[in-house]
Amino acid sequence: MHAAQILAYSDVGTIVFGWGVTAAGVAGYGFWLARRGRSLSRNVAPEDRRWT
Amino acid sequence: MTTLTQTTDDTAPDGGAGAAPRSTGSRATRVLGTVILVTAPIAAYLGLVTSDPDVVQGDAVRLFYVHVPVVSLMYLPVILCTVASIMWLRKRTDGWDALASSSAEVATIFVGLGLVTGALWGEITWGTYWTWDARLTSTALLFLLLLGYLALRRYPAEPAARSKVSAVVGILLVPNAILVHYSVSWWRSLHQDATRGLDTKMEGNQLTTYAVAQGVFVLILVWLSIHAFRVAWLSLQAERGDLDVAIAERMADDDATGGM
Amino acid sequence: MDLNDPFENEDDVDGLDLSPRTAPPVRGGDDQRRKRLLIGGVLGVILVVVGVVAWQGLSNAALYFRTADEAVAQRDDLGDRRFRIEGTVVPGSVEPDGVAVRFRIESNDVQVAVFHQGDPPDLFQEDIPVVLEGRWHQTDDVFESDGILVRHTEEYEADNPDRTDEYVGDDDGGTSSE
Repeated sequence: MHAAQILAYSDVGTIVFGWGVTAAGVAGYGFWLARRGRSLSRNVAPEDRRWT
Repeated sequence: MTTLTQTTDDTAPDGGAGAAPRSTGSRATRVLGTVILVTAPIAAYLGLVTSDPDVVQGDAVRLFYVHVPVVSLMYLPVILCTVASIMWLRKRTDGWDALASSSAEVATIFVGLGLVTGALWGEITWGTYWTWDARLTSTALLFLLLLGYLALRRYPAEPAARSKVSAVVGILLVPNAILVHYSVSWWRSLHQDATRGLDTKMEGNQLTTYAVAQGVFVLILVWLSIHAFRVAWLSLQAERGDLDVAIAERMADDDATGGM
Repeated sequence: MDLNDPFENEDDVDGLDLSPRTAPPVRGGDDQRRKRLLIGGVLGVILVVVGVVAWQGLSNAALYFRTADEAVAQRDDLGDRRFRIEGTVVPGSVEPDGVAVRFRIESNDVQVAVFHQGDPPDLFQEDIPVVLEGRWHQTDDVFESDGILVRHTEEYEADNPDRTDEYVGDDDGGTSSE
């Protein structure tokens, strides 16, 4: 949508890469946590998972 | 751009009321995750599209909106880890152990992203990705200390001994973070003096964009911290369960051989 | 969180199983040994890197730069050693010289002539604080620089406010720039 405008930035690669790395890092860790939580839940007794 | 909600089957369909969740998600974190999913693209739009370029830095200021929120928030999980480490040494409970371990993990993510975004921003504004000034050097040490902590946490050893060594390392985090924070005033550095929002002179739509980005990263920090804590907690319980099974098996073995 | 206080020691309260869980499982010994070696190796590598970083910090960060006036005062001591010098680029002093550039920097009313070989970074301009890497020329009062680092300040100013938009956006257009 604003691709043309963004592409015109000086150092556009570095800027977009910085945002991309941050988004990927946060989202990747978030997904990893969610998956690990799911698999661990299977091995833990219900009384030890008490959040709602 | 950041996907953080857990969308499916978080609540056990078989149990109804009172059933234990089958994941680390809860109603609060799902609401939080949804809010993040809505606000993060807004922050990205403001930062990458509508924010004005800077008079001196030009478009490089767009990296300010990710770098500054990340590095300003990295201190919170670092402090949390040290506090939890001290509390674990006093109370020796799984809760403090899980809090220490999960905060260190979140802190590693934030410090790591701070280093990466800082290097990228530095390449544009300073003309180099890295230089051995006090702020950068002390931050690199903090990152290494956190990596060491996470490695210790995964070392196969008797749980209490492992937690104890980890706690000692965890206590070192805050002194290192103090070094990072005051490095720019204690030593001469290439890094600018102020990084916190209050000291930074910024206005107009740059300030608005920064405020929104800072808010989004606060939410992200909270979401990650809650889930990381629950995962660490589950991991401790699972390990305990394994240990019980192993001990039971050995006792059964002993009984068996003893009976022969 | 509705955890029933995971921070309190329930074992004490319930009088449950207080026996120390010392016994490491005998099974999977090989697996554990491999993991110990791996993580031990990782810890070793981290320790080495910590050493390198600490050494770099002590030799660089402790005195990251000398200001222009200090560098002039310590000229004899510095000899032909490499160091970093800091100062503000004197307005009107920048002269391109082939692939190099000449300019002067100033700090506390002391000016230093600089001969820099290489491309200055994009943000290099007059009246901006810079840190230069290099050494004194053997005879002349010139600092021979091979690295320019631009110190940026914590002041930001929008390069736009009421300027006519050069870019016409798809939607409102009024918030766009460049």
